[in-house]
Amino acid sequence: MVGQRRLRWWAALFLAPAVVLTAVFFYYPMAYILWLSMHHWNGLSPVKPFTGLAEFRHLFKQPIFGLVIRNTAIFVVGTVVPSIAIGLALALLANRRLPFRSFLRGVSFAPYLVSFVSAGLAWVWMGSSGGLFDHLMGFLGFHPGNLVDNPSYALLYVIAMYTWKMAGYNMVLYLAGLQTIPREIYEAGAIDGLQDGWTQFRTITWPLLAESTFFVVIINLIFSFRAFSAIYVMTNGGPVNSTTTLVYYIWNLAFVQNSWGQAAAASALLLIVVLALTVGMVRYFTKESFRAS
Amino acid sequence: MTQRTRWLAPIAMASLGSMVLAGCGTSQTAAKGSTGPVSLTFEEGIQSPQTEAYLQKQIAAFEKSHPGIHISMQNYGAADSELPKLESSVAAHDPPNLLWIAPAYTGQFASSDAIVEAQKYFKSTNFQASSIFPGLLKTGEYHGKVWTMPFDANDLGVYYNKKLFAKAGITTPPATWTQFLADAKKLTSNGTYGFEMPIGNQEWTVWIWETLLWQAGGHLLNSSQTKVAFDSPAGIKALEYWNTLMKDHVATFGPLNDSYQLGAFESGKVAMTINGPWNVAALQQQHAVSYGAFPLPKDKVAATNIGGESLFIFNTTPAQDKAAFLFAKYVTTPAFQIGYDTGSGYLPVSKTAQDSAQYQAYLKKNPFINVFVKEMAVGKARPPIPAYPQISADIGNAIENTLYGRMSAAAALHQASVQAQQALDASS
Repeated sequence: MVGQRRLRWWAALFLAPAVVLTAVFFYYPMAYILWLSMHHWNGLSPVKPFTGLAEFRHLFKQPIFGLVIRNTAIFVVGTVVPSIAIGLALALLANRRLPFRSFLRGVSFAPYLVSFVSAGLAWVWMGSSGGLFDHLMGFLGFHPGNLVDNPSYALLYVIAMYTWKMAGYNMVLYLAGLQTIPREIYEAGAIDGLQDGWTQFRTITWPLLAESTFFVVIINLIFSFRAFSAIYVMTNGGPVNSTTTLVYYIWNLAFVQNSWGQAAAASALLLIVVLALTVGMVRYFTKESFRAS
Repeated sequence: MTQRTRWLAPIAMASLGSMVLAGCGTSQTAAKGSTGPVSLTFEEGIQSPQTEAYLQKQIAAFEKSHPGIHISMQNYGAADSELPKLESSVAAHDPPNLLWIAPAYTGQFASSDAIVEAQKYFKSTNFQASSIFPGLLKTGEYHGKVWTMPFDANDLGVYYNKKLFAKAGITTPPATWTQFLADAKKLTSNGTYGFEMPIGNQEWTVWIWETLLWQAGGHLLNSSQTKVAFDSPAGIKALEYWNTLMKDHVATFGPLNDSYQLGAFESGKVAMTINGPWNVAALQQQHAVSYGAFPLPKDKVAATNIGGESLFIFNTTPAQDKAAFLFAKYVTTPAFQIGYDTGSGYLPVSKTAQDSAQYQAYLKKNPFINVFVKEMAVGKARPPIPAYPQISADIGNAIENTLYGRMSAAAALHQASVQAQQALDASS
């Protein structure tokens, strides 16, 4: 009994650094943002008067708020779905015995290693009027002009850049998942008559990748919700706020407009959305993996 | 993983999302003595190395004439990235003593007690406020008192491509909106546009648009600064004028939010663009375009927007605050101003410096700069009120909504004015 109590103290001691760091860098800022969302603050003033839910009301009344939510939804769905699909396709390809397998893996992963700032600047350049994309599409008889400065294309273009960067990362995650699937299962499947690739994928590979998919979906959701530097570098949220997502809007409210209360209110909203989605995903996938096993 | 601990994972992951706003500043409260030698930190964002070297030399001269005061200078790079850092340094009670930045932030810093009112030192240090252009002093006013001290000045004018003007048969630059539109039409031909339209909802676009509002006889705020006033016939006229330039296809958008860049002008793709005097060195170095400048065309009246930087004195110790003011005063002396301005293309802040034989000789050699100096006479300044950044953002959205054809000028300005009024009410 005494030994067990001592063990508990040791455990507490070893856990302390992690607990303290999480408290200081995660839970304190979270609590502070919730507190700040009910106060008016310009970022400098020593006084922060209590305003109740007024900051939320102001936020919802902003004429561009609906647009920001719409942009965020399009951006998140538009980046998460294709980057996972392409990542999975690349992983399946890179998992085969192909002549240039290492090269394929390297090339697919390389975009992820480039910083969002340099990649963003390169894409701005390629998407300019008379740039690479304009030129290539010219062969199809279509001249979109400057993609970044066009409110109809800007969001799609940023999504394309983001997907290009994330697909390789998802490939690596899926590749790791694929390599944990024992060869014997495929052999057993073959004996039972599972010959063609699509049936193999549907009945063996995809169910056994459930855990990888769970992780990939959640990490991509969080990354996409938080995406900032690509938007900051490529479009500054414009033109006509067509690429202003919730996170970019939070930054703009806080650091450009000095409306920290509204920025905190928007952050609280983001927190709730991401939390709800993550909890939903965990619920869904835990049920799924039970079914699989 | 048990069912219970499984629930912790999403919470931990989701809390990553809340980290967006979590900035942290280093907190160091060094003991700053009030007696003996005074050390000051001075943060500036001067881009040109030559100008910075000149400033360094002047600081040495100042230290010589003011024994006991030591200034260490530090470059902060871009102003946009400096502001968040400043906010955290103020929160951590460790701000710089002196800061070189646009006076538009005066209201925000003054209302938060982060900076010291400069005017309270005028008498005791024998500072002649009348030596500074009154319009410039106004850029640093808050509640009727001068809080920040002018360091350098600039304003806006039109750059034009002399060769394209000659080709279009234009002998005198346009002086009115009507002439400007007519000339822009003449200058537009396959691939070349008459005018580069600033675009984006950030300050550069808004700063330029405000000159049109004033030229049309409009105002940003009422005289007591309690009501926004840009949603007026003059405001609508100003925005519709820009819209006409776009609809008539005599103007093309500049780079989004970066329309101060000169790429299209220097490559001869646009014949006219609005910019300031500070590009003089860069323009002299290129040989592709033969350039000139003329004053912004007028509508009802002539107007330009005064810019430039001021010195902010942060609230530290009384001795440091006063020493910092002495340096701000030194900067306004003709000796400092003449050397600084002839090297940088900035404009003088005092009439004495501007009228000096040395500066006048410089203007004779640089007629380009002279255009901007003369325009200062019709210069107006943005109100340095705490709500200005929000009002500017609302106007920026109105400009984009109109020029991209999403809304009429009247509807866009009305929507912006409702938002801006809310911001103004919340800040007062």
